[in-house]
Amino acid sequence: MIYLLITTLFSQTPIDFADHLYATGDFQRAALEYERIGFMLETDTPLASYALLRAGESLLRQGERERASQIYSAGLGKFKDDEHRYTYGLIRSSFPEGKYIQVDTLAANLEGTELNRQGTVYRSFALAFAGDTAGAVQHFASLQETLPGNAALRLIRTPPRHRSPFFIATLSTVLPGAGQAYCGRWGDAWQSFSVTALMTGAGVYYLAFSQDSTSANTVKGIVFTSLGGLFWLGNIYGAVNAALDYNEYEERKRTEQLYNLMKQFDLDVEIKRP
Amino acid sequence: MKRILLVLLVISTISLVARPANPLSVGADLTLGFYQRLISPLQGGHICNFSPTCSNFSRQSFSLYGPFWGTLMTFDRLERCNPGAWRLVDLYYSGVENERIADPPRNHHLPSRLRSSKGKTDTASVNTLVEDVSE
Repeated sequence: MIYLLITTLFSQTPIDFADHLYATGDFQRAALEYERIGFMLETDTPLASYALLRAGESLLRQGERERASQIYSAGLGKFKDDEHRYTYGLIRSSFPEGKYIQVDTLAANLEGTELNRQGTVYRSFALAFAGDTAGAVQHFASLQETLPGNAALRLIRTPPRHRSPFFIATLSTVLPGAGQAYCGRWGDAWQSFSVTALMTGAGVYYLAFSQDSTSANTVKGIVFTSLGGLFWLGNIYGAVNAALDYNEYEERKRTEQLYNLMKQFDLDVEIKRP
Repeated sequence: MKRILLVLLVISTISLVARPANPLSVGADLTLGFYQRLISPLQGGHICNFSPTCSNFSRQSFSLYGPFWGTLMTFDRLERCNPGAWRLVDLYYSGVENERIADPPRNHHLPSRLRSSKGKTDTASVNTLVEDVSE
């Protein structure tokens, strides 16, 4: 009733006001207005659908993914004509939450619709982040005519450069610091080698080669050899840590590269007012 | 007064019995305390590259993970404390703190029974990346 009264009395409608808020970037208030209008109309009119889609979009832009997801889910059962748009909204709200399997399932419903390409992009990256390399390659293949799609496909096909902690530990066991050097930690490698060699060397000297074999020299020998042994053990522990750090860094770098490629796709969908 | 002292004595005895400290960890803590009070000041300030400093790192490692892992972590840290570590700040360490490289013991890999992988995949930065994409 109030809506009709306002519509009749003023040329500016509440939806105009909501559009104004959205256009000026006040997504918080825009979301409230759109939501109110969307539920107030309570019919399956295109305008109500438009309001709900804009409400979801405003909430997504504010980072309120859970609420956006609720709105898209409500709209999905209500507006049959815009089903694919609500599905896409659900995909966009689920992806940052790490619900990659859900994204994959939802994106399958977008095949053959106008949002097929966007759905495929989300699906490909979701599978890549979920660790399903074969699935990701299959979907990235359909995007390979685009520059980021081709780059993502190449990245996914290249296995990550990992260092085996066992191999690195073996290297450092044989030659202190070798494992750290293999992981690119040259400073740690040099210090591990020199300090272990110095302590062990001093210990061996006092125990075996010293001219003066007094008890004081024996004690010195034992102390230095023990310290050498402890530095050697610490060096092996450090080598394993270096390998694990290296692997984590490589994974992080790969993830960042994938996200950067994803950002290069145009994933925005225009919501036109009916 | 005597009653209060008696209660305090009973409480402290119970707490000691309930959580007995490892004698090796206590020994290491005393040695490191001695080093920090008497030897470290002689070297002048700010000679360690890391935060917490090597001696504090060692004390924390011993108290958190016991004498075995505490010893390994201490000797590993002594081998890592070199100027070359600054080159690795952005790659492997969690930033700079008070003009030193932040490297607390909890950031190190240990068997899962002690703690899970330190998970250096920086969750906060990954979330930022995701939000960049979705908005």
